[in-house]
Amino acid sequence: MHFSKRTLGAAVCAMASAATSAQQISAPDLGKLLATGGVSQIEGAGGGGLTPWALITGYGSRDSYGANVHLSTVRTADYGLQAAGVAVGFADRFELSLGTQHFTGHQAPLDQLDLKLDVVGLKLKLAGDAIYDQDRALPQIAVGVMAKRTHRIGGLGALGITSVRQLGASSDHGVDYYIAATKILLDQSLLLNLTLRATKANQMGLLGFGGDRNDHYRPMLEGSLAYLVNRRTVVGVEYRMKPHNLSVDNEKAYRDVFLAYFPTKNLSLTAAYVQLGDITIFNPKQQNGYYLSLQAGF
Amino acid sequence: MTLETTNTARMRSATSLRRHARWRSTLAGIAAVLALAAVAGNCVAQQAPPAVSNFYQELGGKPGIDDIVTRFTDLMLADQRVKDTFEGVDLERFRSKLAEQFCVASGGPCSYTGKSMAESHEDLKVTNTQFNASVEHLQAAMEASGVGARTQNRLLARLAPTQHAIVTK
Repeated sequence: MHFSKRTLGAAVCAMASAATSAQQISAPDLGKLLATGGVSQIEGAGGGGLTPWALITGYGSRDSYGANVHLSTVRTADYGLQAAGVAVGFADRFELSLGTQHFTGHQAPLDQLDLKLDVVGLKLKLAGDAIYDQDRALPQIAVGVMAKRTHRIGGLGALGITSVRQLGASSDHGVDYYIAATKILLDQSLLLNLTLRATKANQMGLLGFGGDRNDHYRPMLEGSLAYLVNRRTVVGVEYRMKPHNLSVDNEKAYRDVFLAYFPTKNLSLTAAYVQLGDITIFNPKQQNGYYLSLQAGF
Repeated sequence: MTLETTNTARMRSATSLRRHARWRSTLAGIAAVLALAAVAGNCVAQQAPPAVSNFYQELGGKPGIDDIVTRFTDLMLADQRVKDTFEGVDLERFRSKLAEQFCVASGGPCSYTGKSMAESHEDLKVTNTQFNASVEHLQAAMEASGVGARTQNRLLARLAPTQHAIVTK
């Protein structure tokens, strides 16, 4: 996103003259500190790579807003996942994200496999501040929802399978609910995040929701631990528990080791090594590979 | 049965005695270490001036902090977002109080003699964006002064909570 100084100035003036109260949202101010909006996690919310954090996406301060787009790609031995999305953070309090995922097979007999998932996410910061509250234990806390829907399955037409229901899922749509707590310990240069998610989603929702083994919401723990190498660089590990609802999918936890680089507030790059477990009983091979993500915004 | 019970009881009491003995020796050990430390501490106190923290030294001591403060103030005065808050401010006094604050925050041999953060910022209507701009300038000043990232974050950790008193808009 590029604004000339004059356009930005004009926008600021217009907004300022329109403002009738101090609380009114003004123009984009890039008012947050570098990296404090996190990156875009794989479902589109502000967070790490796998897990939503309590941080609100973008660089808008509490008097402004921020927004970004992201493109992510995961490649393992036999599968690929492309994710893209757009997210807006309002007043460093509320976040709206739209994400889409496209999962493909690259190894016979699933080399034509084609799964798609759309995600609408909302997140609300409830308490605490991950940065300023260095003098107390309270983390930044946010709650969120992710409403998801899968598309028709492609590439299994020869088997007559076109819907996740035929694989044992109960539904092609579902909602995840989560609470996230993020604490930055500046004294130790550490970031800690813990997220508790109630979900029925199989492989994030790519294989539908609920299944023949279990059709109830299950609480799943997700965690991130990161070291702030310097202002622009963060390295860390993540872990994301997942339910095991489908007989055809021996679903396992996701893990990653990541490095995120923030050259400016307008751009971030994340690279990770991911372990996704074995995705289906028809191919018991552990799916390990790389993850790359680019986020651009303000 | 009775014999077994008695034996078990004896074994138990022996174990508990041994545990007590271990505790006693551990406690004695701790006491000895503490006594040694106290003696050593006295010796150090008698021989050398009070030690300043590593943290203060990592900031470069007094000359390092003065350099950071000078760079920081210059960056603030050059930034449209925050320079107006310096109107009518005695810069010499500002620099010296800020250096005191950094010195105290890093465990240096100083005391802070300035106003509270709430008092000194009360009429300025400082926004969160302005506060964060000052954090960015402090990071840049520390970086330019050769302070490592870990130490930078340690100082920010001490100063970050002042946001609650400083940001009033």
